[in-house]
Amino acid sequence: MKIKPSLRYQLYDQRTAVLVYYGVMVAMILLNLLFLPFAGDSDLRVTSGGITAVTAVFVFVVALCSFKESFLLELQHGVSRRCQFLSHLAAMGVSCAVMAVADEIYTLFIALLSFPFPNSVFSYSLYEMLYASDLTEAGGSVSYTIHTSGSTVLFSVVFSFFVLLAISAFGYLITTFNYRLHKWGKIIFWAGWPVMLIALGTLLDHYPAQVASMKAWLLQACSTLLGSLPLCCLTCLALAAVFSGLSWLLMRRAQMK
Amino acid sequence: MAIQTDKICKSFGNVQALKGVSVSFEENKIYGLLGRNGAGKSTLLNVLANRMFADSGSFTVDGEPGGENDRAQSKLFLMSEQTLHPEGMRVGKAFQWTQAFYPSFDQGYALRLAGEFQLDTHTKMSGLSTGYRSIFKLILGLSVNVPYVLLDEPVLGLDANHRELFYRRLLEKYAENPFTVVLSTHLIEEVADLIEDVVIIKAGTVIRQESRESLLSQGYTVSGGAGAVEAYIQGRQVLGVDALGGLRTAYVLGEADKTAQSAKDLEFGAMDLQKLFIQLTNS
Repeated sequence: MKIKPSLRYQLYDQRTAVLVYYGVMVAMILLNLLFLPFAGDSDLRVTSGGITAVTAVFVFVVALCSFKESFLLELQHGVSRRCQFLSHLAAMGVSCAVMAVADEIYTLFIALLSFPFPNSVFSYSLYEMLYASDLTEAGGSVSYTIHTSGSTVLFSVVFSFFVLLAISAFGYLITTFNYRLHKWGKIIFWAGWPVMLIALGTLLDHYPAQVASMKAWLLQACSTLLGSLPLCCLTCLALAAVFSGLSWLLMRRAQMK
Repeated sequence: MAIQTDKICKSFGNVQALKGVSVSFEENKIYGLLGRNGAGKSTLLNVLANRMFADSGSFTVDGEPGGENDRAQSKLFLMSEQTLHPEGMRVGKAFQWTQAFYPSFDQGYALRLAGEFQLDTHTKMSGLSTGYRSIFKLILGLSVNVPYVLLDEPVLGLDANHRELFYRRLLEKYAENPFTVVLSTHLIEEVADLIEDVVIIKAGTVIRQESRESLLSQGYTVSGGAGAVEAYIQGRQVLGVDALGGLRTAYVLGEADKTAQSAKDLEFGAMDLQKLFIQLTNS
């Protein structure tokens, strides 16, 4: 099996994009900081809240772009689809782990900047915002408190890793599915589903009671499946497994185009 | 030790590209895979290189099942018409990756060949012309050092000088360390002296697989004055006649009859592979 070179290539394929992404994120913060000394007494703040949400979008886009080129290059070099898929799983795990750690380093880096700029720079991870925060209402005012501690750093990394893993697997499934579609399939699918959503939306407008109960059911399902860090991790892992399984079913019969 | 296919069939919609192809590419031989456009040559090579799946049938590489088998696939390298490298990849980087996937790839030799062909290794794939794309892939094929190298239209877009250089380097490499080469090309005259065995595919079926010698011994050429040649070929199975002024060259199937009365003043020669191919594949 050519897993090692295949893994190396798939990581190499994503390396530049990841470096550019974090470069841009750091540059944006530094650019914001440039304005702080000129802010005077104004209430100017630099806040980074939940970079993992942005990273998730980035990971999704990277996953969308990660199939065709790598698949063809590896076919050229005699790598079987099975080997390519196993390498992809490993590469996905490694890149999600690296980005989960990088997100936390980024969050901590900005938090450190609060020392030279007290009360002006704030930074929280997505995990802290979702699972380590309290929303309290007292005397007509709402207060939002985030509790940070040493353990939240580790939990943030674990949370980010599983979220990114599920999203990356979903992106890969979509791109593999898209590759397998023939020309007319692509047109029908990509034009069809927005049309279907619009039609469904219009249809649902006529059934407000059912929509309300469906929304309540969805919220309940989300709070059950994502209610705590372990549950969220398990849900993401299950989703990643399902998406990856479907990707394999599509990939195992994929041919050169 | 060989690539052995067994009744491979492959269809694209209503078109049946391969109809039960059974063929054998033995070790350390240079094969000419010949066929007209759409005969199924590229499809066969793509199936062997695991880029496409056969609808039915199977193949082995040195006795092991081919297809989704990394060990079998690492023994062969297909240089196809399509470039499967990312458009943004530079030639030098592609050499490095080929070495990562094929440890036997000789990067030093590849760089030397790139110099001989004036291929700039800093150029991206997107910046290569059709000819230079072919050169890039030929260099990979010549440097990869695997037992089976499959070349699909290897000289597509190459000028005469580069074609000549490629044939020379291929023979040198083969003489130095023999390996199996499958040359699929329409330029039959150019490769006629290179190939040892010929596989002819017609409409998805292998109609001939034999040595070039044996194939060419099925016919001969006869040249001379127009009248003498015309007289000689009367009643014989003629593939075609070339005319140059008052001279004629006829391509005839069967055994030459040099003792015949009409054979006086005629010159007899070996059959031309291209003429024979045309005759065999004309429907």
